Amino acid sequence: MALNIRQKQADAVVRMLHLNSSPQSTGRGGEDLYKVLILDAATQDVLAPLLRVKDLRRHGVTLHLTLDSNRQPIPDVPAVYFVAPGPHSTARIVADLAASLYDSYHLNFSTQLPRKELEALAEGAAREGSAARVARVHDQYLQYIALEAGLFSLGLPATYVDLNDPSAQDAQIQGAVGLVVERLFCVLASTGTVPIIRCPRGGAAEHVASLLDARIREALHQRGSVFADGAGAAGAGLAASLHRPLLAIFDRNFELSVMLQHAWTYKPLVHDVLGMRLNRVTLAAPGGAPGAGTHVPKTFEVDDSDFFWSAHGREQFPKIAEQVEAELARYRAAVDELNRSAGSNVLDAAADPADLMAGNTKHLMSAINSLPELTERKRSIDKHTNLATHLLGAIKERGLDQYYALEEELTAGKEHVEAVLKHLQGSQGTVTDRLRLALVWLLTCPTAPLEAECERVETALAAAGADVRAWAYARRMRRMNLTGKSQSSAALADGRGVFGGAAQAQLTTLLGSSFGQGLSSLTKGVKNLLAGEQQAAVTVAVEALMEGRPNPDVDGYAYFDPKAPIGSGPRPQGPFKQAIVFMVGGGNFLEAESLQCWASRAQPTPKHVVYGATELLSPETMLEQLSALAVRGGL
Amino acid sequence: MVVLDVTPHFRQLVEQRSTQNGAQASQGQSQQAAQLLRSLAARTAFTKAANEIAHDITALRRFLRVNQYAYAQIGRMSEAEGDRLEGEIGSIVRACSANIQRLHSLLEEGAPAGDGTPDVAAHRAGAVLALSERLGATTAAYDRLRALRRQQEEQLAVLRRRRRAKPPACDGQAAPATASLAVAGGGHVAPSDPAIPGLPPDGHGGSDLRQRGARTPLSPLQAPPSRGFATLGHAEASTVLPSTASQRQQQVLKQRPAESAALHRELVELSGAVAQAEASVREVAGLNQAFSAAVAHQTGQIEALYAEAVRATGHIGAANMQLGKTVAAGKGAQRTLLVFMLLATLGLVFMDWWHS
Repeated sequence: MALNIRQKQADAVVRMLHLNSSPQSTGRGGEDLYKVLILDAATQDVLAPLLRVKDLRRHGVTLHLTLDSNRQPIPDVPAVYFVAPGPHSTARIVADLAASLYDSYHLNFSTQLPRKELEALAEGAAREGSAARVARVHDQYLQYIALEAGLFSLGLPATYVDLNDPSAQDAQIQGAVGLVVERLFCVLASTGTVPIIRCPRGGAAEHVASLLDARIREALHQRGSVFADGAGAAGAGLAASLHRPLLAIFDRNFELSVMLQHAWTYKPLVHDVLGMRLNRVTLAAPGGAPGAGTHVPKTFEVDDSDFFWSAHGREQFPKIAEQVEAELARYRAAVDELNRSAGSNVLDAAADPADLMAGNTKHLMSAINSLPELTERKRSIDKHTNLATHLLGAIKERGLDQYYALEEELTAGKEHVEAVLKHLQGSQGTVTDRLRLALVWLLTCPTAPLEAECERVETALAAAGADVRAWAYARRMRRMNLTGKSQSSAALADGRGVFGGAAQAQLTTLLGSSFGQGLSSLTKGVKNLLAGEQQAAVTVAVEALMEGRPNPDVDGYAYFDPKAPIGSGPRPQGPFKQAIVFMVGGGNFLEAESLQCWASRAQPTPKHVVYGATELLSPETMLEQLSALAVRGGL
Repeated sequence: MVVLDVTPHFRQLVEQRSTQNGAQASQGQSQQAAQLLRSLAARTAFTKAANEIAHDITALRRFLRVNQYAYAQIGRMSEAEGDRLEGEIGSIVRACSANIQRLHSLLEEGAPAGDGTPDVAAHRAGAVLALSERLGATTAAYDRLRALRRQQEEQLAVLRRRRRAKPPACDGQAAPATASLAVAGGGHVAPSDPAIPGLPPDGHGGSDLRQRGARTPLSPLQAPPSRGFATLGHAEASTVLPSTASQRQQQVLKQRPAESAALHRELVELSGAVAQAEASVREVAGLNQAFSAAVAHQTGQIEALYAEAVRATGHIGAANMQLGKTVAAGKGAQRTLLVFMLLATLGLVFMDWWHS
């Protein structure tokens, strides 16, 4: 069965809203009927892409409030709490118990409630004499954001900065990695299967993978394991790997350029240009008093339930405009047909009046029945017309098509620094666009760019008014071969002296001594699927891993099997049908799309890939993080 | 589904803490019992009423689910049973709708003293909205079932009309036979007239005659049924009735089958027209229902828009207040500045006079 992370999370949330019983079972004397939902900021983000207020009402939630708001008592109603565990949440819940705000309390924590917090909760409840009001306490393992069936985010901002900050302390890094592991564990617990974990050696990816392996082992040995298949035998190699998915974990430095590239397909464009967040886009629509020229922000929701978004999300922008026109024409034709059949006043004198009346009423009835569907379709078309119009405006204003075309050429190695300089000195695009172009050139050069060329680009960027800190950071990373197309361990060894002291030791521990080894050979395999389509480096790596055949590029990857005894070596694996690809440090729609495109076209059978990241970053946010790292690194 | 229930651990810890705090072991159980009683006692009239309506709607949905296959498929349920089902569902829907309206009015009149907090009001408004939406979804499902049933009835009616309009080849020849008889006779003949010997009783006469006429077209070269019938009638009549009075009786006898056939045909046409009218009325009723649902949906949207407008008005009011304060503060500042400038000018003039 294909992994549908969003459906699994939605089912779990619905079950939670029905007080952790099946939604079909009738309520116990009306207890299940109406409830109040209490959320915190983290769980609000979890629910936002899944359920609307109308959906909450359908499941009996009459009111949803935040944990930290000033709430009044509603004495005859049960409250469903869905919060992240922590001292603050525990304190608030105990305060609510003391104030007897609700009739009963169904406590649901988004990750595992630590023992210490459970004790604090019990102590607080016992002290207030309100323990009897606590009906249930559950660990839901839902602390991740499922945006689509095959796309999720852990909602952890600035993880890339936390893990690459040369001045960060051990405790901070451990804390950041711990958060990633706990939330990634929630994702795996939702799928109910124990994956086989592969990752490049060294770096944050291996750190996360090893801690995750330990976490899964601990869960498997607990009674009432969260994994459906328990801690049984691993099974035969081929059969096991066919059913168990592959979890491939990569660090963001594996390929940085994809985070900065300009996109040309619909979903990545909307995310990049219009600032989509949690499947919502807010645009300034003309509104207010006539003649005032004011713009009212308008929010649009885009998710898998939107027929246009799911059907055309991967298409290139010019095709989107055509599709919008086509859908609009189809809608108009349907409406005309409806009007013609329902409102026809042509009286045929020879026709039987009874037949005429029957025909008219039948047409009216079908018109009434098809109205809601047509209305919904029109709403969707209007929404995408708005989005496409805003995108078109941005594309024309910034010349994004030219940036995209040039970056495609740079990635394929067909263009050089002169074209980049020409563009940087031109008038098209914002300062950020130019910086992104320069960084894409820097990071995708087949060989390390010459210092003179870098100086020229930096001068052009400074002249354009760009913030060159991000450039400086990326340049240092490239110089040290910590990212980019060709890297070698020798170059990395040379670069170790730059940091010095504890930071150096930390970075070395994080990055490992062989970070990036093998990337050059992988990127040589970057293929052009179709004209203008490049595969991301992670796609090439995942393809090699899922094939299960010996491949020098990925054979050196670390291997973790939580079901196998500790110390046992890697078993021969057959091809994988399903994979979860996770980027530590952030991901984006462009990379997700590259994976999905490859998966759907894979031979002999299409594969199923779920893509996730610590957060889905826009290129601007990535630039900010690179700038922040440059500042912290003293650049 | 991945959920870990840690309630037993929680209860264990509570018991341990309570024991440490000096409470007795049995207090936990008595607290739980007290909680149960408190829950039951805390239910307000509103909640009880809302729960009642929700149970009614759930019962309606269950009722629909149980009967949906029989109702939607023509043939599984007779028309009378279908009508009865529709009547029952209609009455339940009306009752639920009226109850929801009453709850809504209760909200608008104001909360009872003691529970008037905004959260309580918002919760109750949410409950009423949830009930309306649930009822709306149930009636929409019922409308779909009804539309399916109507569609099948209509198709059946169309098939029947086609069969009547185009009788089979054997019937086709009987029709002109009866028509010619009707033209010739024009009188009324009771098919089951026991006075006519040889005719089967209980209304089979006419049909039997038609069937007899129907049998004749098997060989189209045979004599037309009218002659056959006339021959038959004549033969039958002639064996029974005597001379002049009998001739009149013979004529009457000849007219009766024709008249009965004509009457039968008229009745059949009338029945068809009535059935069509019934179907049209049902469709109009269905349309009415669909229009009501669409209007209710729009009403809901209008209400939502209204609520948004009210909120926006509130924001505008607050903004106006802030603007007023800003303007007042600005005026105050202007006055202060003016006074300061005046004083400064006077001070300068005074100092100039002093030094001169």
